[in-house]
Amino acid sequence: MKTKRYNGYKSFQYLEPGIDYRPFKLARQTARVPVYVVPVTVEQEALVQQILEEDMIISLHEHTSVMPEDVNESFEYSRQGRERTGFEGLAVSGLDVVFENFMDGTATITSNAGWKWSDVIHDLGIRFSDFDHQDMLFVARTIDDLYRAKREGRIALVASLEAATPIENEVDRVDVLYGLGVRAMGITYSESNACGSGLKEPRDGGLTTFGRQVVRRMNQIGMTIDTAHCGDRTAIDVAEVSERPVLMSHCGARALWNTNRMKSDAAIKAVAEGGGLIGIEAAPHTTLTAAHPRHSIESVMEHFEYVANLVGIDHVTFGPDTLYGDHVGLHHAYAAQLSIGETHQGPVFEEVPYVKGLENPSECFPNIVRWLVSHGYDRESIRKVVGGNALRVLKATWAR
Amino acid sequence: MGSKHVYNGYKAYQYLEPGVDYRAFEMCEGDRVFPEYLIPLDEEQEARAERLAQELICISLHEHPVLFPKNIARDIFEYNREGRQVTAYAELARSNWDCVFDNLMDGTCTIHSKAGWKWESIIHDIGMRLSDIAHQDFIIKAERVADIERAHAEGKLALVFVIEGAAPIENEVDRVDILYGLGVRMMGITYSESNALGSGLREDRDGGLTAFGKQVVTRMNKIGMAIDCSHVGTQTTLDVIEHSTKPIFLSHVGARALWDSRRLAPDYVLKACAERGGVIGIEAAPHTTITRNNTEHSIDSFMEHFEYVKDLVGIDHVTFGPDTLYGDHVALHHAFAAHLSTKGTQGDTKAFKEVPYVRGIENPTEGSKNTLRYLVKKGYSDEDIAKVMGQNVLRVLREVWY
Repeated sequence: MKTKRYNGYKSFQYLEPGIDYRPFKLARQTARVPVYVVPVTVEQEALVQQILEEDMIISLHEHTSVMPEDVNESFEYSRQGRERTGFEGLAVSGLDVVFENFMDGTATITSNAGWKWSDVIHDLGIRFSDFDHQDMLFVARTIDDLYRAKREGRIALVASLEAATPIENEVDRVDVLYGLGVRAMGITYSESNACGSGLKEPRDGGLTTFGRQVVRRMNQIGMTIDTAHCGDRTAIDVAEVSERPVLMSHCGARALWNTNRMKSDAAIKAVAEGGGLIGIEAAPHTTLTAAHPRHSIESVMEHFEYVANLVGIDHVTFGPDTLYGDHVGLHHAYAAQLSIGETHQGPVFEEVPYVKGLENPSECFPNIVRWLVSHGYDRESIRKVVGGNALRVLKATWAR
Repeated sequence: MGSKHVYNGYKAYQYLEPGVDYRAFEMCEGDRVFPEYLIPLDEEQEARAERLAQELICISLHEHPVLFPKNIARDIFEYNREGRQVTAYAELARSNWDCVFDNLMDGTCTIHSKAGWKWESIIHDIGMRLSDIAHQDFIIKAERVADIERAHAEGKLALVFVIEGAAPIENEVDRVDILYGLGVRMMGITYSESNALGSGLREDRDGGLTAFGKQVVTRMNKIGMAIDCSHVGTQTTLDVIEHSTKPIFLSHVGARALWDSRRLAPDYVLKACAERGGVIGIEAAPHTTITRNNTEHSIDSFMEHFEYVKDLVGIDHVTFGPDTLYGDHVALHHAFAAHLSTKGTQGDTKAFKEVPYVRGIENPTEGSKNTLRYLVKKGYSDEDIAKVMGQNVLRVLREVWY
């Protein structure tokens, strides 16, 4: 895989822990749990490495921060508003481009419920201040930046917010976020907001009047739209109203696992019909299947194949939605803010301690490529689903 | 300016519909509001000025490079309240600057409040200006010295974002980090009014840099944000210079020895700044850098301040921070008198005559030409001109920035 230019930089190393900020014992970024390598032959592994080296590897959805080792410290950690970035882990991830989604529902810096405008700005500013002191990771603002990352052995981070909740009813806040560097945004999180319905709601009234203004402004300014957490009706409305392709950056097929977190065939097809892209999700206990109810890469790839068959290989990719730390533990601690209860209800399943094969941002793409190679996917198809499709959609949605 | 500016005609916010997506105002004619005055040069000097304009990295240490409404008295409050200021692309393309320190809306940042300086408002201003700049590639955001050098090499113009006073951070030191992450690379410790960090220049008494102010200076040193004390009271400024482990800027000031006003710096402050490696930018906003010899503000009085400061601290510690804009600056001062603390900081207002504009250094475009033309006309060496026009600033940035 491509060696990234990492020189050992650690988050906020220009400040003094204990004096300038509160230190926490952090989770390990690599080998936090036993490493799982999808089994492949020697020849296949050579091809895997070649693909990682040559093709654009793009994760449509991650959280590249490192959580505290003790999940019970998560609230205090979040409240500090100074999340550390997994530079060490990202250096060996094989990623060229990663959609970073910051604190999303856990942005509880000044509030319990999260999603406050000032907290979102705080999170962006602090993370960016960290990125500005090293040279491996940088925030991508143009298509050129994405190619430059690959060329220069760096990683381009696409700043993304999972929901427009923080903009309240101010459409100009789209512009402000864009100016600060945000290039992708969800319309709603699992809860409704002024733009439309979230996926946890029992009824979905669709995209609101204000939501239509927001979609229009995002189209005009060049911010990619994401409906991963929207209700089905809202997601379909967005796909129809938007004049540009739309993402559903991290989801799966409800046909395989009947929860409201998964998406209906109709919603998936609406996104594809508009030229958009569906990223398959791998956060714990989301993309389960009847054949693979213990969440692992096998369950996730079943969702991938279902969606690929439904809408074609041009409209599917991976948005694993992983992080560095105990993701299952975090779901428990933050159940309310992440609406875990309301969105994982459905068929009975057995909880796993972690998702084998797709546990953190470093593990995902090498294993995804191994799985695709060992399952006989041709080079061109692999190239599309690990990054080519994402590039196409970004070119169609970004201003430059 | 390295090569001809690569400006392709981009107009501010051209991806939106004026009148539908935002309120449009009748704008002034940019760098053509008032008659241009160019310092006269002979043929040889003209050629030399043109060569130096190409070769040197030219940096303005303090401007507000935006367009203002044609009718300031009628429209300025509404224009500012919209929080959608218009970057002057075409006008900047006509200038010699490779890099401009952009001070955003400063004391007039009244987007969400009457008194200005709210955290929410400065974030909005930064984000909105950057959202526009992101749609073209003549103007780039400068976060490192390499960005300024690249702008020069590629015919672009690098903007360094500056917040003129730290009032918006209230008592939150982490807001320094947030501003840094959002792209701000210089901040004033106070504006003309005091804040939690120390005293502003308009106050009658100056209690110096506060405990919190010291924390902020330390954080700015650690994170790599340049410090500016142009609007700060003298004692507080001395405290900052002492406490800072890095050189500081006085980005837009003049010499109080030439004109007795609070807005201008006493000799001992100028010397203290230079002694610690800092750099002083000469200011040209209306009715600041006048002198007893030249009470009618123009490039002549401005250059008297330049010469005085240069003689006082040496050629390595002086540059230009004209603090101009595109529009009727005098009218803006009248409209925003309270926010800009002009009353009480201009010295004896009976002793000078108000001018309609500052001849020769009226806006950033004109200023870029005449600063260089003056130095050429006075026979400064290439090396000294290089220092004053940008190398002094770069020297400090290399030390202060990451």
